[in-house]
Amino acid sequence: MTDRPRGDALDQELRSATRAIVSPTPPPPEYDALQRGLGEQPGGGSSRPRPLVLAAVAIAVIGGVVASVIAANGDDDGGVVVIDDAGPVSDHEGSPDLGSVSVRDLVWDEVVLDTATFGDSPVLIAAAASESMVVVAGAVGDDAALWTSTDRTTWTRVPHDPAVFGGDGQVRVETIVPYGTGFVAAGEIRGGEPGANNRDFHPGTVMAVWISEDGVTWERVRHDEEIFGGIGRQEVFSIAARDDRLVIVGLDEEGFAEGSNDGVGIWTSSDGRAWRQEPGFSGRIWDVTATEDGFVGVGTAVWSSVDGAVWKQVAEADGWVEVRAIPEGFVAISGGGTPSVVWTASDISTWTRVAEFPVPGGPPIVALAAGDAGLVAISGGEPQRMEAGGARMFVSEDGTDWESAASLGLLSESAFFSLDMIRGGHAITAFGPNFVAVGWQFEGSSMWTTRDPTGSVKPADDPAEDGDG
Amino acid sequence: MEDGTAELYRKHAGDLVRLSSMLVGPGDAEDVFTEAVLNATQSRVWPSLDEDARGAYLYRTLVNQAHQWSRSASRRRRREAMWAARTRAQSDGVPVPAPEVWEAVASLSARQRAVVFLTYWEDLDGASIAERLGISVGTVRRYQVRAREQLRRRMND
Repeated sequence: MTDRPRGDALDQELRSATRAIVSPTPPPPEYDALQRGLGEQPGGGSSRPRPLVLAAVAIAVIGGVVASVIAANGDDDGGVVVIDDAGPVSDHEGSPDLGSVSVRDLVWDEVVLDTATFGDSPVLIAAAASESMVVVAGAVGDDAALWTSTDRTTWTRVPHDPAVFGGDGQVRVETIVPYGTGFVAAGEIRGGEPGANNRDFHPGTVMAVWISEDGVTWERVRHDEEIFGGIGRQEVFSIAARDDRLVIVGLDEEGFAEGSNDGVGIWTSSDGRAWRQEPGFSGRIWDVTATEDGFVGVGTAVWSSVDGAVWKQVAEADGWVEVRAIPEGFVAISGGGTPSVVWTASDISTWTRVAEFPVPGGPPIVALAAGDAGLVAISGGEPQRMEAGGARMFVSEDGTDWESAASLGLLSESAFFSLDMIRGGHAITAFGPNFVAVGWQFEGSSMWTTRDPTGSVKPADDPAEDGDG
Repeated sequence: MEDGTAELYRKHAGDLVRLSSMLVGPGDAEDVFTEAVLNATQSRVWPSLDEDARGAYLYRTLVNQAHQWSRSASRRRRREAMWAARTRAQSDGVPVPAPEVWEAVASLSARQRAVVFLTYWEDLDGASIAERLGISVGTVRRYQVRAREQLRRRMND
């Protein structure tokens, strides 16, 4: 079998482009000159001339990786790759290590939630990470709660202060984002009684915001009823941060009741403490993420904004629930039902449908994270073994080609994942080359984290610590 | 060198630095190439690999090195702009592809670009590309299709 495409105009263009790109390439240095210039020999352990090289070497120490990939559907000329959750697996026995951490190699383990740290019935809803710390947020009992970790396995609860985390009703952190040296979290205070047909429907719900400069010491932003409250519910879906700007998207029934919008709520801040509600938006934004130039929101369309206040629709969309910026551009997930669909864009206005997740009878993808090792997407699901019909996890190195984590053998035997996130989707976060995911249902919460199977990569500052042995 | 590394280097260096150029542009090709060679040859697994495995390992390390290098979106955008401008300026005597072709190639991920390079420069078949990059033949095929689709879409815009 030959896979060499030949003959047509597109191939000729690509061949010419390849030639044009590589022809100006300078010749490689002579091997001896390479060694002299660097002052070291292969296999030696002497110092490196550039910090970037130090970092790269540390990343490259993962050894003994056995890559396994799903045999892919080669007839995907339609541009959509259907991910076969139960597809055959071909092992590349003996493959050397990949030279850097890939999400396809990270193994997921469940984190034991000890009662002393997490309480009897913790509600774990969202996770976010800075360069040095990962924070998980949610609630214990009727009060909001946060936990911190620097290694993903050892956790400490942020000291409980009723004045900060308590309130008149059920208080929960729903979403969190790193900001400056610390974090900003947003959530809700659910007063009133749950609705008859929706256990989450609390007519008196208002939003709340917390801020921390170090992840450990938190304060609650003063509640201003004009901004965070009002008629009907105010709820939080997602938060995003840039250097000098924060945006929260959610629900504000007051505006809906007055006929001024579709019930969307958008709040912005320049410091995390002083907030204003932005009027005049019509549509629904389920998720927002920061970009190099501003913010991107997805929901009933794709919008972009420089400052979070003024939004411009840049593409059609329908029911998109998650969006993340990646080096290649953007990745978004759509589908309130099944199958969920993956869209990618190199620029924000041009999206391509690249994959769909077939989860027959199962729930849609609800959480998405992008990090150094790639991307992870998780569906909601009943609390049962992930590979046996419950929640599903998919991984991708580039946002375009996705594979089932179960089929890749990335889920530990104790795989038991419950996830009941129906909005926000900040249930997964990247932390350096690793990930942390949380989920909850009435039966209880669970937390998962990744590990490099060789154990050679540490979170956060791993590049500087390790040589290549 | 005594363990065959020098000979292997001389055998693959030319194609590797060209692949590096395909991945990150000519201006940064040598730096990324150099780092990848050092990472590969100084890794723990290097002494245990035979010659064929070492060759494949160099290619994979280079692709991953380029992938790491391109993590920053801002660097990526600046790099691609510089890459396009610089390469056009240096392309005397070599046909310069149309802008949409540049854009199509620039929109591909590092691994997808590597497949394009190995397909159209080294003229390898799918199985050989899969072996060299440590991916399945089906994935190679998908990357080839995707590169063509990107180009077709941009040419039709």
